[in-house]
This record gives sequence, C-alpha cells and structure tokens, in this order.
Amino acid sequence: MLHIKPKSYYISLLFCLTSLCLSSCLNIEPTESKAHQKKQAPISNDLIRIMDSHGRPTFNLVNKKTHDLSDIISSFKEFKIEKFSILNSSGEIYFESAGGLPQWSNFSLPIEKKPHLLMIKTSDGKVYKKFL
Amino acid sequence: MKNTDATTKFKEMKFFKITLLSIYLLIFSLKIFADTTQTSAAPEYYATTNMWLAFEDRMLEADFDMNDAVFYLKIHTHFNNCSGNMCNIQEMVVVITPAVAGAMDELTLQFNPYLSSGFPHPQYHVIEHRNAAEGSPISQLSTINTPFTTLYKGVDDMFIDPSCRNMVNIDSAICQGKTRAFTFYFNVTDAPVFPIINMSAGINLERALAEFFHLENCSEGHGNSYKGNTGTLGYGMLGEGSIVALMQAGTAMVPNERASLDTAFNLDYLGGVCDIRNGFWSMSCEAAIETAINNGTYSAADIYDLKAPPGPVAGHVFNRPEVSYQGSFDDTELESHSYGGGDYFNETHPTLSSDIEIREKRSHCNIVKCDDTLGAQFINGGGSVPSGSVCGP
Repeated sequence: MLHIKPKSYYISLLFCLTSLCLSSCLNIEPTESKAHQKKQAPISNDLIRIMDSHGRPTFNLVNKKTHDLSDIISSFKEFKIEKFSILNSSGEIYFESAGGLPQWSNFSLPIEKKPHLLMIKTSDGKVYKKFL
Repeated sequence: MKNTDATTKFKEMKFFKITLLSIYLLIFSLKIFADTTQTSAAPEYYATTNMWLAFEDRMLEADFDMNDAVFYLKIHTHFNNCSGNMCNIQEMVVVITPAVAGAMDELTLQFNPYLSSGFPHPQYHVIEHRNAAEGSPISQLSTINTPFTTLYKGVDDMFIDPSCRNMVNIDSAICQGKTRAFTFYFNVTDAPVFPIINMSAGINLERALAEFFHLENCSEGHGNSYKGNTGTLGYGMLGEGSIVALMQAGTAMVPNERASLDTAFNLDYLGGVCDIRNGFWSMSCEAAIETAINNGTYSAADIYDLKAPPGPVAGHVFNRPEVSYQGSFDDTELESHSYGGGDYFNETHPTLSSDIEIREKRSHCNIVKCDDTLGAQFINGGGSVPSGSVCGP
C-alpha cells in the first residue's frame, strides 16, 4: 500500500509548476520559421563545423578509402623487409616504409580510377605484389 | 668393472647432453640478440602527396567561390622516429604552382610548419631551388628563425606575366603560374624541433600537410591562421570566409567568380543544407561536391576546371608541371633517383657529406621536369621570392 503524505505531494507539485513556469519564461522568443532563420544565421565556425586540427575551417574534397592491410603485414612479420611501398596508378610512390614494415596497418588512400599497387620487397630480393 | 664402464658411459652421456644444451642455449641467445638488433632499426617512412588548395580570402564579405587563391602542390615528405602513430617530419620537398587568383586584395602564401607561435621559434633550413641546371646559384639557402616562410609575396609574384595582378584565370585561363620548388630541412640544431604528424588511419595525410600552408590577406589584415594566434587586426582565424578547400589532385574544379560552392555544384536539391552563404554546411556537402564532379552534375557555366591538360597548348591554359626527381644532368654530381619514395632523400655526393650541402646541389630541373618540350616552360624556375618585409599572421 502506497502512502503519499499530502504535504510532500503539494511540495512536489509546486516544484514542478515552478520549473515549468521558469522554463517557459526563459524561452520567451517566438519560434522562427526555417527560412527566416536562414536569413539571420551568421556564418560561423559553429555552423560550418569542419575544422582542421588547429581550428581552421576546411573542406576536404579528397575522396579516400581506408585499406586494412593487417593480414598482409602480419604474414610478413618473420621476413626482413627492404621496402614496403604503395604506388599510385602512374607508378609514383604514394607511401614507402624502408627498412621494415610500417608500425600501422590501416592506410587511407585517395580513390582513383585505377587501383593502387602494394609492393613488398624482402631482403632476399623477392617481391610481393597486390592491387588495392 | 661393469659398474665402472656404466659410470663412465653415464658421465659421457651427461657431458654430451650438457654440451648439446649449451650449444642450444648459445644459438637461442644469438637469435634473440639478432632479432633485437633487427627490430631496433626502425624503418624510415616516405610519402608523396598531390593536391589542390583553394582559399577564400575575406572573412566578412565572403562569396564562398573558393577561387581567391588556388595552388597545385606536390609534396615529398620524409618521416621517422615515430612514437606510435606520431612521426617526426625530417624533411619536405614542396613544389607549388599558383593556378587561380580571383582576388583584388594583396595575398601572400606562407609555409608554417609548426602551427604555433611559441618562443623561441624553432629553426629550420629552407633551400629554394632556383635555377635549371648546374651553375651558380643553383639554390638559395636560408636558415629560418621565424615560424613561417613566404612562398609567394602577392598575386603579382604568383604568375609569370607581371600584368597578371588580380582576378587571374577566372572564367578563362590566360596566365601561367610560377612553379617554385623548396626543400624544408628540420634536422638543424643540436636540439632540433620537428613538426609532428599523426599517421593513424583516421588522419588524412593530405589534410595534415595542407595545414602547413597559410594564406594571409595583407590588405584586410587577416588570414586563415590558426585558432589562438593573433593577426594584424588583433584576431586570429575566426572562420568567416577564411576557409580552405583541399581537393583531389586529378579532379579539381573551382567555381567562377561570385558563384558560391552550392550554386556551382548544384547542391540546391539537398534542401538548403549546403547553403553556405547563409551558414548551412555539413560533411554531406563535401560528399555532394564529389558526386557532382564525378557525375558531371555541376553547373558548367559556373565552374572553372583545373583538370586542364598540361602542356603549352594554344590559349595557354593552366599547365601543371610534372614533378619528379630526375637526378643531376651530370651523374658524377648526384646519383639519379627513382620516382618518389626514399631514394628521393638518399642522394650521395663524391665529396660533400653534409645533407644541407647535398640538398643545395638540387637544381630546379632536378625536381621539376623541364628537359622536354612540355617542361621547357618551367626551365627558368619560378624566380626568387622577393625579399623585404611581408605581412604575417
């Protein structure tokens, strides 16, 4: 059996009503239409929201895809590596780790019409190739 | 007698076993030592990045056409001494070509690798590779004690034709940008301070390197500097209009004059979420621009296509230099190099041993291809950065 003391009930009710009143009083500005908001909206960092690590607003229009190469890197752990290279379609080296495997395994590469080529050269001269 | 033989045999066996165990332990120890030695030599990392950088030059009157200063950049970077994903930048070779300048203001482009205004300023060497081939001076060495280096001092310093002073290559291309090549070398003093870069998967390498380039609007007294720094008007980068767009090397387009990004790329169909002039923009707008470029759904009349073919063609469209380390014309001076990667930084010289002296031997045409018809236009380099004071962040 639930017993509610009348005094506590009235105090709670009073608290709720006060809270409601306060919240509506503080929010006294009428709601604006979206179109009106658009006209008034200042252009600020808060609205653009895309920053580089030092707060500079930046549009990033480099289309990239992250490749998880952890399986490949793990399979070469026992080998002595001369070069681990990722080449773009024109044959230019996009990334190279010389003298060992890279310390990380996820690589974010620009999306191009042709795939990148991963090449791993071991110290005994063998070369592993895979298109990414 | 039999007991003595058995004891001797047992002792021999014991000795044999101990010897075997010792040999095994010795080999095992040597293997561990070898493994340790092998893993202690950390790899060196290299990256080659190509990108366009487009700047909006004004803060309060921005039209968001993002064509006020547009540059093509090719950067070779050498990283090492990584702690986790955080790596030191040892050296950068930067080749930069202005493409568009839709601006009336005096704009300078600066390289600012430390991203802070702390004191004392870290020191680094800048080698500007001025001339085509052997001969003096091939390059100009400076030791920089200020946080930034000026790469272009005003729009009239960006293009070969000195009459290209403002509103350059808007609507149609007529002015060729001056291609300049620089080596930035950070391993300078007894206690060098290296720029640090995060190589983890979530980090866009192009974007991280793009942060080093700063456009200062000397007429307006502000630039897209870094939050917390103060400009000549007493405020740092606030974001209103002073925005940078980083674009894919092969598929870049910028809006024509006064055509905002959302108009030029036909983003109206997204229901106003990309109405940048009225303060609406989001990550999805970036993706929408990519889609517009890939599907050809942009407003052709409002777009200036940076994908113009390289080469000295009729009408002199914008030409991108081919940037590759060619090695010296004289193979006795410098060993030739492969295209990108570590070989780029591992050049040797028969008599010189210091890195800086060897870097000074790099000519402009070692870095920018200028030994054929297509490259001939770049043979004189980009001229020197004019001396004298410039406005700064």
